[in-house]
Amino acid sequence: MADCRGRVISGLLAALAVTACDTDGEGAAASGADPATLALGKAIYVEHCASCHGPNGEGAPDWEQITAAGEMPAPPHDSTGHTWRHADAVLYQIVEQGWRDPFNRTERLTMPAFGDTLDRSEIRAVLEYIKTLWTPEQRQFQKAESEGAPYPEAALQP
Amino acid sequence: MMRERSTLIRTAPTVLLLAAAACAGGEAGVPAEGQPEGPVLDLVVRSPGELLLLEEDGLWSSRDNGASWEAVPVPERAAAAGFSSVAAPNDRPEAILLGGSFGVIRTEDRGASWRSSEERLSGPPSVLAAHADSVHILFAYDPAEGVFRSDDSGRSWMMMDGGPPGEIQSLVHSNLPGSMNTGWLYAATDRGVARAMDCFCGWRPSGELTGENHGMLAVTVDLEQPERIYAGGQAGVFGSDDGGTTWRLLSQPGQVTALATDGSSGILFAGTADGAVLSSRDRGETWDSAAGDG
Repeated sequence: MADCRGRVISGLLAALAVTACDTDGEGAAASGADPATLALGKAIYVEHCASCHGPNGEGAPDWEQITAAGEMPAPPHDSTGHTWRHADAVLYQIVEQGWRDPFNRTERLTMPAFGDTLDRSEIRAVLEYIKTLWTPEQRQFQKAESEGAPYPEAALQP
Repeated sequence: MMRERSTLIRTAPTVLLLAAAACAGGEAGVPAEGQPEGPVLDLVVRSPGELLLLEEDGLWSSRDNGASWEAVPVPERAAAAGFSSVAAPNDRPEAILLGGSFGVIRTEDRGASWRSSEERLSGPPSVLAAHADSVHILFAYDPAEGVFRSDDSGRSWMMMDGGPPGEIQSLVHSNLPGSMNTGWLYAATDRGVARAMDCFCGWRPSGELTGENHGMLAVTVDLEQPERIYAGGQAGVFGSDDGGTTWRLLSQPGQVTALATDGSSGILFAGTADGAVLSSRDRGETWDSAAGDG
């Protein structure tokens, strides 16, 4: 053990959990994706995701409370949610195959599978658009998480 | 009445002396004398048949399911400051982590020498937990800040979130399938049991065992059958067979302050406020003194 400066790692995730709303322009510029991909992604989000996750990624009302049917509502995709905590591979799989909270009282996929509706590039595009809704610190965290779990190689093909 | 955790002595000289000694090249451990007698703060199953028992000023090891104990050498100044939690990392068979007002210290030689984390938590951790499967991932809880994660066996820490409502008394990681990440965290709190995926995507009450009337001091998971969760406190020992959604009262062996499960043998261990170590071979329905086990 070499470093005995007692340096404290603190506040990274405190800074991540801010409620600052990123503008399309600022997030788009910082996300690294090309404008055409982001425009496609936004269009896909509006058509397929907004009805559950909110037009601005704010999530369903009372998204943290289990519904009367015993299901967890659609969470936010913006900086107030937790989408940014997951690697690209995880997010891609959820969009492609769907997901349900294992403690839901119902068996259905509350997050539908879009693998038959969206092709690989479209799934990646909508995820890249969602990243524009995060803070720079959240994008940095998610990028680091994705280093060991990137998008499937096929999704990176033009 | 909740167990009163020892007041963490926040004396700068103590912390600085410990830090200096540890940074200088490790601090030697000194074994306690006698046998464990005080309130059990924490219990950990190190390997099949091997337990670690934490008291406020001592750490003990058993290789015969709690029938007999030997003291694990610990730094005298850390013991004087008071321990709060113990964890057994998966990366080395002889590694142990201790938490207290001094921060987090680690041994890799069963207590012969101890060193501090290179990068400290922001405050003294009251709870430590090891990942169920990963050899490097650890968790710590600072009541003033929240839940931290280490990806390098405790050498550095990152704050993940503020934790569930209430104060965490015990934390355990589960490899129960269905998480968006690698598993789940279950926390025994003064407001019941809470659970979260280990991506820290939000804490939720763990089923029915929630509310201020369900304060819990201990929680453990059977890693061989991770849908089996146990929680304990003054009200008794509760069990769940569905990952913590429904619970039932199993038994009332006294004020349970610590729980641990040996998945390989199916033995459930409990530590109590009056210093007893108990074992159950019927999943918490009945208990025997571990001293009579082996």
